[in-house]
Amino acid sequence: MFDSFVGTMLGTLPSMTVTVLATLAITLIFKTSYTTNFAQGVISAVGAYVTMELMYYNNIPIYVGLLIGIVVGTAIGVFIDVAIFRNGRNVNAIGKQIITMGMVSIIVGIVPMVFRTANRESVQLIPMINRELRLVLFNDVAIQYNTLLYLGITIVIVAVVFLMLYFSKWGLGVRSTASNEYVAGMLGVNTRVITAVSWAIAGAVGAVAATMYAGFVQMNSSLFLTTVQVNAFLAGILGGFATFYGPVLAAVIISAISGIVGFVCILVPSLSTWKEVIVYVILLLFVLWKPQGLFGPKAIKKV
Amino acid sequence: MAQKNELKVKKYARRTERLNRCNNRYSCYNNYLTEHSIVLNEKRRQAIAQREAELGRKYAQAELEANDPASMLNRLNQKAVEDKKVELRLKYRAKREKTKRLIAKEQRKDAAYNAQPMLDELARYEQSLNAELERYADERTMSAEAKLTTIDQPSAKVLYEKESRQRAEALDAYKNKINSIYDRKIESFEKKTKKRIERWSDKTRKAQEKLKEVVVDNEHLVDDDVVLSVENLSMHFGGLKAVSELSFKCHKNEIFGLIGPNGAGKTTVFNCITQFYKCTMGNIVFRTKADTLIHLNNFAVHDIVVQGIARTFQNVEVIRECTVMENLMIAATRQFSANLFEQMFHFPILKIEESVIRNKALKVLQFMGLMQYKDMIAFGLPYGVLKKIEIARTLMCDPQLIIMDEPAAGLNDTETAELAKLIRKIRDEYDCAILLVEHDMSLVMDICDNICAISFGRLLAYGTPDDIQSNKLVQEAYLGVAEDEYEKEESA
Amino acid sequence: MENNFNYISEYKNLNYPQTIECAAKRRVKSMARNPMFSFVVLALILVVLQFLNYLGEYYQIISISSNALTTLGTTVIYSMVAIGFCLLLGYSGLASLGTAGFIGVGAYTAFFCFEQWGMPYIVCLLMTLAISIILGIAVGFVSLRIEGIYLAIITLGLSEILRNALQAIKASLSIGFYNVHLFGQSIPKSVVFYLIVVVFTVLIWITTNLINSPTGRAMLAMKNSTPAAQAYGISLMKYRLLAFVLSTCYAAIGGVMYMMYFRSLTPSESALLKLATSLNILGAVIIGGAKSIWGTIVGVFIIYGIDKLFLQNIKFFNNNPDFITLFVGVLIIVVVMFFPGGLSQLAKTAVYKLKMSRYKRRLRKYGTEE
Repeated sequence: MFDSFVGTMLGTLPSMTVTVLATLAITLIFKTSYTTNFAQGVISAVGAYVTMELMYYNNIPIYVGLLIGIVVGTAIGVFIDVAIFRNGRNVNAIGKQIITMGMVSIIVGIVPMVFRTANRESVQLIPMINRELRLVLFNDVAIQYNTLLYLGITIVIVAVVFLMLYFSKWGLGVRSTASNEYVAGMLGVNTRVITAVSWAIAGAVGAVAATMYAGFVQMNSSLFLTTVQVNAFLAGILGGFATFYGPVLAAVIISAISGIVGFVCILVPSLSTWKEVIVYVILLLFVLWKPQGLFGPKAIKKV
Repeated sequence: MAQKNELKVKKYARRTERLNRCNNRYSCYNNYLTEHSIVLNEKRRQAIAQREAELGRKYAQAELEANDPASMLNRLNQKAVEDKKVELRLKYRAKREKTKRLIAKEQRKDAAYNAQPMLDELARYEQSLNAELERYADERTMSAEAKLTTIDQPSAKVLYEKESRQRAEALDAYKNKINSIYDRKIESFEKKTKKRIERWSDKTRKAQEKLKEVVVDNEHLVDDDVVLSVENLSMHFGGLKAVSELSFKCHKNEIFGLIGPNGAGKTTVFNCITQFYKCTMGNIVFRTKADTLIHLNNFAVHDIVVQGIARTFQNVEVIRECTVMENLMIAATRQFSANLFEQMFHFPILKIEESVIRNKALKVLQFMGLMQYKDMIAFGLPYGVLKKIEIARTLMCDPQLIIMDEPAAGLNDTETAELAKLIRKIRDEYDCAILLVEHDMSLVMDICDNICAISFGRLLAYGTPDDIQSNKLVQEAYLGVAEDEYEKEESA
Repeated sequence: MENNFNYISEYKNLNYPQTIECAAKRRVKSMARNPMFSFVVLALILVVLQFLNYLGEYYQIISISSNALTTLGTTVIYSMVAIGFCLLLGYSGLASLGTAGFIGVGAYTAFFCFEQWGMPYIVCLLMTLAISIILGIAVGFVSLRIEGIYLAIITLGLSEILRNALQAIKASLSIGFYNVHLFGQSIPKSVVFYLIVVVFTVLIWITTNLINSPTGRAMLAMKNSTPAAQAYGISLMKYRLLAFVLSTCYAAIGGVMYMMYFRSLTPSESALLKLATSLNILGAVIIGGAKSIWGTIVGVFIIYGIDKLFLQNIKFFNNNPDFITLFVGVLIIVVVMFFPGGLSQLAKTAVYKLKMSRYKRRLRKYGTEE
């Protein structure tokens, strides 16, 4: 019983790492551009496709491939911010949302032309570690080395981004831009560079996340990250976009909830078709209970 | 016991609103009955007149030819000459503009260019046009004279008599037809409307009876002439005490000022009165138009306006996407008795009510001198106009008390003087009390009957403008303590 | 602004000979001033097209392809949904991404009513309305606690809940050919098209009426300034619930119509219940201009109709179907980037500029009377 619980929870770890990274990217963009980036999923997917393409069909080592994938993700992110958002005529938050939606459409159109998407299987991205290799913890419970690697990558990335946010000049810029872009600009913060760099980091993080995610799902359409993206948005709301750490912690909480619900579904098999519904309903109730997010401060309305 | 009474008051207020709505609708239908009958009769008259005119036009030629061909031709000629005159005038103007442009062009090239020849040519052209007009008029007269000889007057007369007989018959038939149609229309309309009126007068009566069932104990907390009484009002945000233990009374037909330095909690007091904030402690008693005392704390924000309190905002909250007219009509949303279903399918009652409210809004616009902005989108209008729109909006709600939050902020001196006059005029015309927060001391001292000064949420002084001006505490709060006095206090 | 008004007044001062209008022209003009006029014309055109298609099928007189009509039908169905969304976004200022879920509710209700229980259309419609009113009230209560982009994401989550729940109820729907009943008779696809057009026109009529009534103004007030709205007696709860109820009803009716028109739906394969639909509807409304019904219809046509009706006929696009998606994406971005008020704003500006240029030309030619 306990074993199977721990097993289920460990099973959710890979998707949790991906969700955490996606949430990080979305939060960065939300704080600097005041919009929800619907294109996060597809931008990341392009990064993953580039990596795969180079690795499998051109026999380029994974490290180089991943690097190039990250570069491509970064480039698309910067392109959206610099070439589209900046040149638009007074585009508001909803307008930006629609633009990211248009980006989704464009990338969904481009990807099948450039990459081979049909009949893709889930692939082992990190070849040096065999998927079957496990570290046995106790009794029957084991954890894949692959998962440990994912966990390590995620922790490193999150740590680096947070260290940058709180101890670098860029981080100070991001935080001031997040609190008031206009005033930050007047006080000499180059908000343009700040925003562009945020988009770049979001693109890079997304590319890494997508490459990781490609390790255990099929990637036969560029929309294969949609579920992760929806979860990331919900994590943002659940944690509250007011802070940077809130959404990331909320992403962990969401994965935990879905793991617990998954475990309950194992016990009560008739519930298994309703698993997703139950998870989302729980999240919704949480958000209704605390509309500002679990970690957000309470705001007083001024008249 | 007190709570029970409160419930009763709430019920009373609810039923009063219902009664008001019934009354509104009832009077709407009554007005509609008289007005629409007039409109229908007018329509009938117009239809007949139009037909008559049409027939008249058709037979006018014959009539004129028969009676007075010379004057007929004369009149026709005059009209033709008029038209020709306009045409030639336009021609002249086109030429004039062209000449102007040419002259400007030449002068740009050469500053010493002599424009006289061109102007002369223009004058010559005008003369030639005048000559052409004269020639044309002469031609017309000549041709008319020629035509006059060809008209055979006696036979035209016979023809005319026949035609006029025909015309009279046709007109009679038409009149009969129209009359019968409109009689039927008016009859059915009156029947329908009367039925509606009956129904709604029934409903009104029932609402009245129901209202009488609720016996409100008018606790005589306050004197008869007090409109608003704030008692021991406290508002805390967490640990911050924005307002504490504040009491004041506002009398009927009074302009009451609330002053204090920045951050003294004036706007918070307003927000507590209008229930945007629910106050931590204290009572706010208000006398409605129906002369009932109510505790405002028991009402929701959006029900306050129905009780008779309308407010303006510190940072102008005009609906920017709508026209000025629509802004005023939004303020009267609660006066519509048409329900959602009737609005979805545009029942006649909605149209009637819209026209009633529109007329009311027109009156208010006239009063405020905003007629010229009536159909403009509020977005982009000057700040002074937006402020006026805010005040106009309050007048739409038949208020008992108007609350103005810094009405003079952002206005220049002349505008402020105008505003002072306007506020007095509103008080006299609309018979309401006015409660205002203001930083402009000259305005406050000028127009207010009573003033309440607060600082850090506490009452400093209360009295007439003269009292306040001479009050030491108020001076300190505004100007700070003089240094030597401060030292004296220190040493003491 | 001031400048332009001068032109108009000057223009009016120019002394031109009066033109006389004939009665018929006047009557047509007064009819055209009715806001419903253009929509009725649109509906008539659609009906005529379907009728021509019918004639073509049976008498080979004229041929209108059935595919084109299906595309038009889809556009009209999504337009219904988008108009409801217009009330929500353009008039009440509430952003929602739950549209797909609401459409799904309508589609499933239609399936159960027609296929499982064999009910007539009216009962199905009433049931859909009842369910969507309950649903709308629920979402409305959510919107009272959460605002702005947060609300959009929460409704997105809600849509996911609905999709998963519906999928769990039944994975694949299909309605038998003879099971759609209207007035006691089973109707084919072509008759459903007429029904769709009728329902569409009625919905537009209701929407126009609501927009030009106190309710529409109250919603606008709520969108622009919540404090002002509350201070003038507009209950946020009432109107937010109303906005959500209306948009949910419109979406659910759209779902019912979709199910009646296409007769089958597999949620896991079709994009109907997925996030893409919500986003597309949002995009359509933004492209068209969130406060204009005509704009919305055009926006929906750009997203759902233009590729199948026009682009597929172009050889290049026909060979590379992915370019269509690409093209639509670029179009959306260009419109949002350069015409923030949407296409309706663009049209309005164009008409205004045309008028102004005419005034200016005349003024330049004739000058003013001295």
